Amino acid sequence: MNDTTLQNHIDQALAGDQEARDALLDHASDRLLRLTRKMFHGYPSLRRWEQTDDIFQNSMVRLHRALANVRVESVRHFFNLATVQIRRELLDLAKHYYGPEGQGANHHTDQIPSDESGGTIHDRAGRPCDPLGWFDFHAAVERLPEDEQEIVNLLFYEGLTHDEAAKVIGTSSRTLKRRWSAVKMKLHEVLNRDG
Amino acid sequence: MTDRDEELLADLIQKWEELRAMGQDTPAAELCPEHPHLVRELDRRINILKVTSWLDEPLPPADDDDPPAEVPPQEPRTLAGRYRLDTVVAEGGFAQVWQGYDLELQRVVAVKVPKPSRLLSADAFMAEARRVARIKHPGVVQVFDVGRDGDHCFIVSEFVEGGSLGDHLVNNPPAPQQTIRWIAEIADALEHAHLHGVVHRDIKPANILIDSHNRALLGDFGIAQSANRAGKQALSLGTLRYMAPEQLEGKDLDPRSDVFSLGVVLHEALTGKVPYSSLQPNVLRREIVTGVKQVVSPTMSDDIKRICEKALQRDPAKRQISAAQFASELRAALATDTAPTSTNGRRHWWWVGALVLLSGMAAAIAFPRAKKVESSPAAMQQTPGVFSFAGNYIETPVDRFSPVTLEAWIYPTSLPPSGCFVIGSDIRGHNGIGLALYGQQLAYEYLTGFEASDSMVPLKEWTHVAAVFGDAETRLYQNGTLVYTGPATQPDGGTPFVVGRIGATNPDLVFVGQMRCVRISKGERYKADFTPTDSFTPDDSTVLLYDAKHVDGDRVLDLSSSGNDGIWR
Repeated sequence: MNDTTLQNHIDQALAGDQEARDALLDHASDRLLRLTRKMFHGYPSLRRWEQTDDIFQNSMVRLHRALANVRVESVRHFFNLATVQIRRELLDLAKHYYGPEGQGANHHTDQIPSDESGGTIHDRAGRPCDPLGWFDFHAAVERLPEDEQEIVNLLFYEGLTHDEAAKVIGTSSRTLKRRWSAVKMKLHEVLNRDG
Repeated sequence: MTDRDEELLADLIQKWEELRAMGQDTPAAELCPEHPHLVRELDRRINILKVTSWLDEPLPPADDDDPPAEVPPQEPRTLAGRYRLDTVVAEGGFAQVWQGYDLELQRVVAVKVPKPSRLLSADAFMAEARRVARIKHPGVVQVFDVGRDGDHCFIVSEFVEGGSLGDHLVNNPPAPQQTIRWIAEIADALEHAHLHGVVHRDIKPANILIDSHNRALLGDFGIAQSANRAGKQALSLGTLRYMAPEQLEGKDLDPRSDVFSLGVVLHEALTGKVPYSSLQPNVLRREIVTGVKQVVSPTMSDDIKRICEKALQRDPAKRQISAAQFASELRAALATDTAPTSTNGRRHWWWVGALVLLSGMAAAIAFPRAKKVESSPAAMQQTPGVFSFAGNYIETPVDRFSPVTLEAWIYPTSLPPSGCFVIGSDIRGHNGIGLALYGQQLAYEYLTGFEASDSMVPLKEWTHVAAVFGDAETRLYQNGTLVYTGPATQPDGGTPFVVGRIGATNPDLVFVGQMRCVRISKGERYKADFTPTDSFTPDDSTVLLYDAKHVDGDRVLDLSSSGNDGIWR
């Protein structure tokens, strides 16, 4: 769904069109489903223990409830609202599974070569491979300043291209790319400092 | 690091990103030969971007459907030193069900063990399980025990050997009439549960068990409800394709949500498919919530199709008002000469006679006129001398006021756990004044909500109920005995009284059963216990008096001479 279509849906939803509102919820549901699958993809013990769809449907109910009655004013506003709810659900899911009864006792992240020692170090900003890693990631995003959070919302959670995200925010694609790189640096710092 | 250096680094990072997008992993030293003092920092940042590059990867598509990993065999064990778990017979997202053995009573049992990761509060689960264990009905799988073993809670129930309806549909599809009879039996069991305040929330073929006597039993009560009550993070709410729209929207549920789910089961059992075109969860969610893709198969008979369509209405108010009504409609359809068709479209006529011989006699006697229930509002009043309510109501022209006394002779046949109104009035966004039943408790509504007594109104018995809304207090009388005194209420606007539900434009909380007379009086008619008369007579304080013996078509005559005739709707 491009931002023009989204804006049309938002305009129609504001005018009371239920189908347009449903379409917005569909968009958010789709992102939540894909992010849920990404979170639990490659985590065999959890996929065995739970089906992603089973998990998804429960989160979806709450997402629907959270978004059903809000007044969305713009595409940018919608993305911010939806992403906050989506991240909240993903945080809850991740948190739920890394506890004592969860499957996240062994926390692995990607390993990268160290430029100093030539050996390997654990980098907490690598791709999360278990619920605790995902929880740390989503929580780190929550701790970013709002303007930086918005970049992650649009590019990671909403999956927009650089050009689309730049248009939503009202900046140039070049500036957006620079800010995205800076945000990734910041996330790396937050995850390795606080994680 | 100067601002100028930061600018340079930002530019170099972008250059590196562009080259990387073209497949080139350019070393830092090659990118900034003119700024050797930045190489080390650039290299550090490039490494960070490599580590975080997963953030730029596309997400898997929504219809990605990797098969789950295989489940390793579970080791048999004994819970609480008594229940030996032998084999896993079913496994869902929420729990495993084992065939087990009660070492103390030496009998085969079923043991349901929720997965600890899905259980937010073991205490809440146990409390709910105990509550559900009190539901006793021939159509409900009997719960024997609940307990704990370390981190594991468990429920022990009778072991039903015949398999589930889901198994039957796959392995040995029953004849349509058998399916309908089973589902009517499940509706009976549901009605019983609803009367005890339990909404199942997870009606599906896998939770309908068929015993060796060919009876349908409903299992899995309360699990989802416990989980949902446990709080926001609870993760078990039902099974998507059987869930009612309001369940998906996170709204409050009532028995009609179970009616919807049973409608889906009915559709699936008779046609081999659920009434939706997609099983992809996000698409399916939309289909259920909007109702636009719902397809009720034309291979069903007209009667069954109509029942199914009604149960599957998006708006709960348009569904059967209770599981009991759903059951009665199914039995009425069975008792007619219009047979439902099988999944291959062939009609089965032979079963009609057989069913009448086996069980249809009772159905035919009990529900001979059920088909007329939907024909017209006036047709609801089937029994001479009584008003029969099943979603219909009497609209009065009397705006609410106080002090006022509301009273009626009632014969409830079904009591929704969420409550119902004998006489109600409402204002959107506020509460009105009303004489109500909260579950089975005599209650009244005033401006901030229900006030319920401890007095239980019996089912299927004539009971006189009265609410006196006075200046200083509100009193409830049951059969002339004061049973509750609560706070007074002050009306803040005009809205008419309605008999049989809360308001003319509010379809919720409807009374199901019969009434023979209704009276609304100015002031406090009763200040002490009294002996109610079998019928009401008007006096100076009477504002409205309806008696079911005095109706004219859809017009309900006011016998108080105040001109407040009602409209039967």
